Amino acid sequence: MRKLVLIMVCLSIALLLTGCWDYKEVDRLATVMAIGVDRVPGSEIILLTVQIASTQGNGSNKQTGGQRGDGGPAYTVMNSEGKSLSEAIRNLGAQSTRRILISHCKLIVIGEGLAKTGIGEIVDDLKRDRQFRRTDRILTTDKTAKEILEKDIALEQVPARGLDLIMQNFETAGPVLPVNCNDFFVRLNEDPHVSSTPFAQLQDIDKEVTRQLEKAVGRPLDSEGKPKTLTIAKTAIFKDQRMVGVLNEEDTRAHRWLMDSPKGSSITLTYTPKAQPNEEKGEIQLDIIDGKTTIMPQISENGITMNIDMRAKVSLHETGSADVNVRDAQKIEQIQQQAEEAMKRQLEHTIDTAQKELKSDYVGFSENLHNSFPVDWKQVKDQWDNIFPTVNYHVSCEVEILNTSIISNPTLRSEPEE
Amino acid sequence: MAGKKGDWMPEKGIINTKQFVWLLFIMISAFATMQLPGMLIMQAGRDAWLSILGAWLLDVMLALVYAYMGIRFPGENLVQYSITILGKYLGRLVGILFPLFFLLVCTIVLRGSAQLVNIVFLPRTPLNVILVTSYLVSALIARKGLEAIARMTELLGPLYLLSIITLSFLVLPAFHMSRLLPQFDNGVTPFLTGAPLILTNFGVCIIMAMYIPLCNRPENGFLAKFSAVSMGALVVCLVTALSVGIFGIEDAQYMSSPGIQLAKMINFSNYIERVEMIWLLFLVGSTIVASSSLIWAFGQGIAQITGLKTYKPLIYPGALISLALGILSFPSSLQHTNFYHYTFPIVAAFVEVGLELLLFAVALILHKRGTA
Repeated sequence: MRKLVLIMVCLSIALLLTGCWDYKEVDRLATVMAIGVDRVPGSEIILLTVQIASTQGNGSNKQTGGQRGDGGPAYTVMNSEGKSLSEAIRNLGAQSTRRILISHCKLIVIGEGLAKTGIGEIVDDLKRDRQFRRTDRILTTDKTAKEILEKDIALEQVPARGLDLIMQNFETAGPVLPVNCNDFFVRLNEDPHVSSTPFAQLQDIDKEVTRQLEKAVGRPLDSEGKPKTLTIAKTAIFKDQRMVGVLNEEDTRAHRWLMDSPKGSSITLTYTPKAQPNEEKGEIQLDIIDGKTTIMPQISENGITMNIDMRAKVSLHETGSADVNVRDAQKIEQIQQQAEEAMKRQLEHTIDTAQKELKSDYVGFSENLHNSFPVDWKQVKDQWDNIFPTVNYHVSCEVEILNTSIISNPTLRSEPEE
Repeated sequence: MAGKKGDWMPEKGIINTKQFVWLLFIMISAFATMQLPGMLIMQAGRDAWLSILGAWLLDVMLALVYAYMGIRFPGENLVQYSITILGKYLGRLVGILFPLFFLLVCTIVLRGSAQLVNIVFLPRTPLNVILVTSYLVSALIARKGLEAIARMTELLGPLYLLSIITLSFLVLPAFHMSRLLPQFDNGVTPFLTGAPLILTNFGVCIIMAMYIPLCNRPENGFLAKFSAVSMGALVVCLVTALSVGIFGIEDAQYMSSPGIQLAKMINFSNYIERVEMIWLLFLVGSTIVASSSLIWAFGQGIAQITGLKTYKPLIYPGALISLALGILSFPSSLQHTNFYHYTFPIVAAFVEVGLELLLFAVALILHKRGTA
């Protein structure tokens, strides 16, 4: 009898542990890979676009793209609206035969309209909902999020996966600083409440290339037009939950140097020889193998000065001119010096943009000031927005060429000038 | 008379020092890694991890008292020596507070873990179902006696420690030192107020006084407690420091369980991710084993107060009372969090520090000693 009771108890526990209430059958789920959030300025309504990976073909749906191996579409796009993000997600249920599963979402795309009017109300849901992860990546666009999520990405069946892979690549190399929800939130929380996200655009790269080639060859090119391409090369700056500006490609690069590290980035400069003016100029590209940026604040009677010190170990990747004799130690010295100057100019430009144009401290000044001078920081904390544009800074760069890739001197001699 | 003599004990099992260590470790870590880091960060901000070191020091000093009392009253646990020191009636009045306190802790631990499972993993499952299941398992283990619990902790303890260390390594790429700086930003006040808060949580291992008489080498009580609380402090310290370094203080302080959020943050080389379930397995396992030893301590204590020969009939009623408390006392997760944060530390400080120091002082003044 005792044993029987025990067995019954064990069995009932086993039954309870199956999670009957929360069972999820895979074929009854709609796995959301990415969500896009838009808002028409002036309106309260959130417009939601979700990209759902298909587990089986449903070819009649027009809003589909990408082809699976068997010809069926690999993803579906659904739209809904609601007063808030969670309401919009719930409203998807009105059209979906399957339960919407957000927990595999990799990407959150914010449309321009929403970014400019303020993302405050969607941030809370992203933090609170158990299905979102803080490792989801975040992206802003100058278009609507709907357009971005409906765009196919070459080589990938599900575009959300493609976008995620682009961002993964940025983690190791690339000019753009990839940002996940966690980093985005933390920067918005902490003083000076400035954060950034990569910025996606739709560009007609194919048309542009075709146009230039047609101009060069003087006849229409035998090429099929391609749709616009999605590119991520800029950075959106958020301040107090609103997008205040977009950094161009060059500033984006320097932004990453300041906030993360120069590692994985590259520098292109026009080499101008000093010693022999006749020598040919050339575009030189340096890949940064390793590097570090430190920002050391200093407080004196003149106010706050930021000493930015950037060190980069580079590999010479390309010399545009054949006359650059890189085996000459002096030449290397010159290239290093010019690279240092180019980097310094770039950093200064980016900081000037931050101070004068966007008036947002996305260059990490306040963070370093707070960490180094916690007591002084408290005095300037409340007026930081006014003080930041007037902060003096001093940039010093050090570039060291470690190697010249698999050859040393360029071998293709340029034609003698006549 | 029951309780007067040291050799009288409703529990017949004997544990060794190693098991003693893991018992205490599971007790501290299950209780303190679930919700505590969030509250602690609210209290002490970036200095939270330092507060833990402070609390560790205080707790080790407290452990000295408990270990000394264990030796001064050989073969007696804290309920028994309350009676020995304060006499038949007053002793019982004070002594009964300890088992009741253990039951309260059990309520908080299991309600906390059930709530966590409910909110994070099984949102459609009624909370009560999760609670009832946890209590059933806990009570079953508790009835099997301390030896069974000790053997379970011997297995779970190292696994839990390892899981936290692995978690820390995996989540390290997301860690930013600058979010942990500057230390002592708001002076030493946050650090000083944070330490007692966490001491009240570490203090749950006053349950050591229930184990000492059952340990094969009671003189190792302090050593066991020292090792356990050091490992426990390490675990809580890791979770707290990583939470601040990853989520920043603004977000981390309001997280219902920073540990789970940390596990969710794992994305190692875009390869190892979504592993929080594995960690939860260890967490829930530890909380259930910890509560079983709390229910056991409750049964043991009450049996000694009432003079029962065995504590076993008290286990299911105890679990039932605790279950009822867990369901009825907290209408929502918010009440639980608020009780845990604001009320519990006061109760705990009174029982863990106040009562024990009172017993200690009275024993010294009246020259009371164990008889065995």
